[in-house]
Amino acid sequence: MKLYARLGVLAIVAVLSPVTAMGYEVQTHAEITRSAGARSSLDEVLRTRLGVSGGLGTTIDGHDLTNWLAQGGRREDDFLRFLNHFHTPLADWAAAGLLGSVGQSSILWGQNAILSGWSWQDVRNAYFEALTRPTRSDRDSSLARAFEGLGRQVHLVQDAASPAHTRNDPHALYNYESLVDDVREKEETTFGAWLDGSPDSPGVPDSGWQALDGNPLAPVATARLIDADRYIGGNPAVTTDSLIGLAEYTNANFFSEDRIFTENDADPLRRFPYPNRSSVTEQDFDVRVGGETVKRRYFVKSADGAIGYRLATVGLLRDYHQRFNLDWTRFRESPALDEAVYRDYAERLVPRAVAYSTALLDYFFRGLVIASGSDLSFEFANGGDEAMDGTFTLYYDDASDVRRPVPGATWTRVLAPSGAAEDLVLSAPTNPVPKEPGKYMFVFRGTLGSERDAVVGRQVFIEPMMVARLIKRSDGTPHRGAAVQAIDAQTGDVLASGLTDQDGRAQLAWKPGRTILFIPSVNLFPMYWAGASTFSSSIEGGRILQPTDLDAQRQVTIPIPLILASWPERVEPCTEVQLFTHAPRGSFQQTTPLGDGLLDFVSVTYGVNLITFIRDDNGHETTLCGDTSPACVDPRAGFVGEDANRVGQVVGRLVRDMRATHFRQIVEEAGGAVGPPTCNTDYSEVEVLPVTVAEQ
Amino acid sequence: MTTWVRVIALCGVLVAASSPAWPQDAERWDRYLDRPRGPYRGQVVDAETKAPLAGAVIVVYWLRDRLYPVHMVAEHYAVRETVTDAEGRFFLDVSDVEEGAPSRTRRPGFFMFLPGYGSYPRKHVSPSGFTGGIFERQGTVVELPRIEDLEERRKHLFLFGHGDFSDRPFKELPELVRRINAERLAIGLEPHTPPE
Repeated sequence: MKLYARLGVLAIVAVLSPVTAMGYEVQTHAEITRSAGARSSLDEVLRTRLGVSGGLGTTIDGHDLTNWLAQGGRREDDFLRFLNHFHTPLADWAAAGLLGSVGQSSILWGQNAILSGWSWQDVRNAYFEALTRPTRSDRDSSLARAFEGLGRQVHLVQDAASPAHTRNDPHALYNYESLVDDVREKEETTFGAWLDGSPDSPGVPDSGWQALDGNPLAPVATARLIDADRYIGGNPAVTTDSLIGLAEYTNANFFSEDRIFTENDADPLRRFPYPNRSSVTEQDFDVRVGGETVKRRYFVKSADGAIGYRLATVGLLRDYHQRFNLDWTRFRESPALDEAVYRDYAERLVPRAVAYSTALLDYFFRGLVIASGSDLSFEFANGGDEAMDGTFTLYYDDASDVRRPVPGATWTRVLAPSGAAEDLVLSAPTNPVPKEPGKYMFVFRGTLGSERDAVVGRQVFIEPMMVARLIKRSDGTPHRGAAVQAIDAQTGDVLASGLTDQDGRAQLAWKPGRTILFIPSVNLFPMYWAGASTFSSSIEGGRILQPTDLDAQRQVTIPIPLILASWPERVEPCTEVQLFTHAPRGSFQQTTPLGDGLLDFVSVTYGVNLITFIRDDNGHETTLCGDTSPACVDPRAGFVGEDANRVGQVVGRLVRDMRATHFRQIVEEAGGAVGPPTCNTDYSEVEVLPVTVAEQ
Repeated sequence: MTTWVRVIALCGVLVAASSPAWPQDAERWDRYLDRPRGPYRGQVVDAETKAPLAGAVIVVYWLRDRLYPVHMVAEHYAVRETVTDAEGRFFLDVSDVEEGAPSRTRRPGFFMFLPGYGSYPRKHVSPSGFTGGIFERQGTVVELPRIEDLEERRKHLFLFGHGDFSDRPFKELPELVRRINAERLAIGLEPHTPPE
């Protein structure tokens, strides 16, 4: 065995056997993760962008999504994974892990798609599958996996708020993390206050971390949440900026159990320039020991970055050191970390763990696609702040909840922020028909800003549209200005209505497979289109429009007969004028010159007592007018949609109780009568006349 | 220096570096179950009316810090649940769990919940401050606030999950699952069903 191999094996066994190298304890991770999830945009994204109505409360496999997130935070410490949860910000990232190379840097581990199993890219893949897998159960399982993966990702961020994890310090049994977990369990109020934030943490992290240059070793920008590469060892003041990696802040401002004042340590793995002796002042504090209050002296952080908290206890040998002016580098005075120190740490570090975790969760869902319009003409746009370069694909769910890509609905585009792809046409899926027409999952996969192979999902509604074109059956000319409605065949609701244009076209929203066209007023009676040139009086008799009914322009052409009602009228033999007329009151006068100063004068007055139309098929009676009516209604008012299919057929009877007076007289031009009237006859009778359907 | 001297020296340094920290604070909570601490008892009341809350579920769970080579993880060791009686009281004899519990078994944690109310310790009114050991003695009263707003009740559910207390909640915590599901239904969420 080579020297270094033996060294390595022995060193690992020796150093790790008696210790634990946990970050925050697993329950603490779970709580921090829950808190970050609740503060993040996740719930809103799930509910408003992805159509997951339960949001974080959605249950999958017996747990809600919040719990899947927390499970990830809890499970990332399983077995040996914790070895990869360290990051020393002052080291090269390739050697920034536990003891340099015993474990991988947490940043690299979080993006290690080969070994981790829960890398950022693995989580992206899980999210992609949650959006696109065919079966509902597979999509749900993938969504749960994505949330567990996000929990594991934020676990790594949270460990950067644990001093031992940023100072290369596999630490002892009871430590900072143990104290935090005890407080979590036994002092909920205090722990809740830590989760809620501290006075010096508002605004962190500055969103500028997303735009910092990437490191090829871990190119996803989330690396910068842990290490922004701004703290380089000699500039601790920078660590209080809001634009700083969490590990940098923690490393430069806090101690871990075995890395206290190690600025001059001979071992480079233990040597950290800050905090150092120049960073502190001494101050006494009251503490409770054994039920009594005693004074204890602390090093208080007073310079070089964050200030105003207890950094470590002053060692018990401190007075001895000062009295004899001993070299503290040779005679250790043993400053240490006690519970009060841990609490001061936690007050600053736990809020940051929450805030940085929240930032990562929001970053994961930062992409935004916006779609608008109808399938006849729609556009989608980049609603985010970063360019999108990749493929945009529409998926839909069929009646069995099987998710399918919409044929022909994939576009490869490069969209700058606010950039849009316009005037797109979508062929609404027909085989199988969608569960909810117009509802799609829009999925982007590609480069989002600096992130390669990013995934963005968005539930969108692209209204399916069709064109109803009405033409006159008699001559094929457009029927202009006609009202037409699309009716939901299942609910009877009006989906859309419109008037035909100069070319007889009306554009209507519809639901393929459950829409019926209704033409309320082209004729005097309402009609549901029943296919071809036939019509129905009821929605049940209407034709349910299928995509196959539409031509390439999404148009269905409907030849409409313009229906008239026809019935015979008699002529009065004396006046040679119609005996009765279809009006409640009326008159007719005519004067014809006969020569020699004589005129043939005809005068007729009409009156109606009652006119009704009685259908032959069902006896339904419609009153058309009476004596006091302002006008008589056309018998078509008693027609039904099916009558449009009965041109030439008798469909009912007019029952007319009428009266009229026909008068004819030869008169002089000066006005005087010449002899007796030719006729002066009163008529009053009830007649029954057949009514036939006619077409213009 | 020979190779083995260097190896031993390195090991010595590393072992020293990893030695336990100085126990600074005698007031520190003793997290481990050095002896049976039960039975556990208490009363749950409405924070506003002080009326006893019958039917609230009480979950008592024990974690155990399990040491692996180079690693320690808190695992679920045991869990018990009960329901408050008409006076809002509960009493749990857990000697079967605590007698003979392995080393590094932690003293138990408690969780209390009734649909329509906040939960202990996530959203309660009292007790506050340090709560270690309070259910080992008599007279502890937990005040839960009524939550009327549906959105607030929804967000309250984000603060805990049955998986926090057990790896097999549907088997071990049926009363808790039942109450969580009742709350979910009340606010328009689907109930949890056991994973297939």
